[in-house]
Amino acid sequence: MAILKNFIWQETKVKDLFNYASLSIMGLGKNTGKTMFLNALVDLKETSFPERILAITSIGRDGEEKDVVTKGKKPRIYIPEGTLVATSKGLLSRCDVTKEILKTTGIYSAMGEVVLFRSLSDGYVEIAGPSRSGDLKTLEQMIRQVSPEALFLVDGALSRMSFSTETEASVLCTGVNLHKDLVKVQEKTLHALYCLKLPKSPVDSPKGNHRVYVHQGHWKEVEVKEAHLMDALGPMLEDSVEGIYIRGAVTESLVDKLLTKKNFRDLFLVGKDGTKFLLGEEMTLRLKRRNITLFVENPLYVPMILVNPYDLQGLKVPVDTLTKRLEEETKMPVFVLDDLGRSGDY
Amino acid sequence: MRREPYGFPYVMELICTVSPMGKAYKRRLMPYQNEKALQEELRKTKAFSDHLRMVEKEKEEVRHLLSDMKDLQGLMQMLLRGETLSVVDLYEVKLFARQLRQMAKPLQQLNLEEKPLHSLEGVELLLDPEKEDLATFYIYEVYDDRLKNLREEKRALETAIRKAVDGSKRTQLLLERRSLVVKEEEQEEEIRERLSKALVPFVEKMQENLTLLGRLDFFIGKAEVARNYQLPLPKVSSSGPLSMVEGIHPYFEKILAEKNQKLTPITLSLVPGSTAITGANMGGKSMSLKTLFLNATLVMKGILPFAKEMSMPLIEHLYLLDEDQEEMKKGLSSFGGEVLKIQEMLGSLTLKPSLIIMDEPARGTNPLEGSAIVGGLLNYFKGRPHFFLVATHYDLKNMSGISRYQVRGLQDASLEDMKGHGEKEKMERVKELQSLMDYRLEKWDGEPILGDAIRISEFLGFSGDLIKEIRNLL
Repeated sequence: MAILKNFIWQETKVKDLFNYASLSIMGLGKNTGKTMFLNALVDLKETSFPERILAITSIGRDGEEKDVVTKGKKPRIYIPEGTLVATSKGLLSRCDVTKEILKTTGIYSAMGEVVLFRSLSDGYVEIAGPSRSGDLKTLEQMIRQVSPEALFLVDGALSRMSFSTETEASVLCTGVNLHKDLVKVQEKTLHALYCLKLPKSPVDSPKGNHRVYVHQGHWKEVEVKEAHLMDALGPMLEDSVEGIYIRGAVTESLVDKLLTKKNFRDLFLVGKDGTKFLLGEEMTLRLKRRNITLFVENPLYVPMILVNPYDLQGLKVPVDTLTKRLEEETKMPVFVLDDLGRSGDY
Repeated sequence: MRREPYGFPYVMELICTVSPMGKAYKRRLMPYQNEKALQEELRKTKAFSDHLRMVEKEKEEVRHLLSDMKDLQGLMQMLLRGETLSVVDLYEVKLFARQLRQMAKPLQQLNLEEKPLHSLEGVELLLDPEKEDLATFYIYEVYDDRLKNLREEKRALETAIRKAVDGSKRTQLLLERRSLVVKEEEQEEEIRERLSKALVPFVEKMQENLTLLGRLDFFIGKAEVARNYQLPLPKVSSSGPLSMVEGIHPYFEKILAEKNQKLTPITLSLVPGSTAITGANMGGKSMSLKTLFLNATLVMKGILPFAKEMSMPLIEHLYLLDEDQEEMKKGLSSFGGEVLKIQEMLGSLTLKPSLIIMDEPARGTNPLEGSAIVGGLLNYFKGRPHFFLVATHYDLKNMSGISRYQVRGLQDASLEDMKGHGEKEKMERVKELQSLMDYRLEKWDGEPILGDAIRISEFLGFSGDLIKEIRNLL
């Protein structure tokens, strides 16, 4: 009984994802089951939202990724008739649906121009969408011209997560392939989530286009001539500085240098969004000790966490403890991928 | 030796092209060889630029369609080689034919005196067999009953797959589907082959259309520039001077406008033979030469000149020889390099008129020989059909039979009034000087006007003692 109850609750939560206009699927690392989840979403659409049109693409697939989820085989996506697909010319022959070509987009990936088609039958597709996250908006606009109500689904690359800011919500995929030690998986996941879900800055962001600003009652731009951001920022760190805004990546080495400054304490640090904070746990702890509060300009909405229990050999690893701990720590829905939808297509 | 005038790329950028065909046409633009054809092209450009404001909406419509078009040259080559187009390629061909049809009406309203585009109705019939008039394409079932039956069978199977709850049953059905997919692909390929063959007879028309569209794109662009800058119709006639009234150099005009300065228009008329411009330093001689060179080049390429009026014969070659920074970097002696270039240029001349412009030739050698070289060049071109224009500081007073211009320079300005302003920044002084300079050219046959160079040196800061020594030598 308990299992069934849990299942219904899960399905309701996943169904909520269909309230968004666009959704991205972020993977914390290789083989975290993004494609498997995409398949589950497709299935759910068929049973619960038969009228809703899915528009599927991916971003920045660089070829290195080999989605080994189940039994060591790469999953393809089985889509229903009527689905819109944006994939590269070079992969069209690997899409076995009947294709109605809607548009050649002028957007390119490593595998050729991205083509938008409507599938006139059910079947398998392989997807490689735009290389640059900036192109996702253009692509979405083209899709909206064809189908204004479509749910735009973006399967994201593992290396960069910044694309997730281009969609209304992002689900986070994690799993046993991140680390052999599941405690480490838990730590990595919690930490990533901590960065992704950083709160919106209470102070309005600076208006200009500079890379760095300091806040002293109002934002003051920092002129950064060379790549050495610290040379410019260091001297500006007076006691009266209340906060810092950094447009690009907030890296470990940058924060390391900031920490050498005595004045770098009791202030807030604003990044563009959660994906720009490339900081390990240790570093965030050090920031906390200095009473540095992290904020973002554009908060990301992460409605749920998904756990892939299959290792590279296709072995299903028990993940109950992991999911329970994640749930407790995040107060977010955490689902194991196998519980969702069907399996056996791989 | 410049073959492409300074500022030519800027003008090419002003001329907006929106399609890959238009951009290619622009890149390959050649000077006209035939007087009648050139006159006709210029006349049409002017006429359309005057007509533009009446058809603004239609022009934008045509341009919008052009901007969506792709260059199908590659696909046309594939068809000619007997290759089979992919479903995306066929989509591109269908879209092209459709865009052409949509363009027909606004294009007609533009009232261009251009060769009409070929209608591609036959292509549309092939690729839109059910006359749905959609901007999409797939391998339609009507192409072949076998395909229709196959897809129906496959669809039934897919429905069964959806309903299959049992995993192994589902796998079985998926395997069945797999074999149907292979058959469907074979069928589709056969149809694509058929369609590709059927498209071959249209290739010539489509290729011609691509060329015409490129020209159309460029033509609209240059007529728009002609309207925006209110450019005149130049007169091209075989016997006549090469003259430019109030010509400007649009690139320098832009640069000066950014500094809140105004460009002085240049008026100049050359007859076959030799013409010399003399006058003060900083008097804009180089600018005058560049302006004439640019405008003459534009006219030869069928583009209206940046001037109030312009007339010229058909010109075979256009050359401008000036101090070439690149050559100097290469370490060639500037004089040696110059001699070689002049030699090369002379070798290319025929009996048809060419325009040869030289900015202070032989400036790097001793003045006695330098002035003999310039004088010799002027005399050499005196009786020839070419337009030879030279700017020089050398003394030409003993020469006859050449036209001469003088930069007005500082003659009317009173520098002494300005000197009282005391210690100013050097660049401020240069600017002040520029504001006093009269850049206009005037016909002039008398003694060279001396003294501007010394007045300028004094104004820019030479000491009184030094100026005195200099004046003693004059």
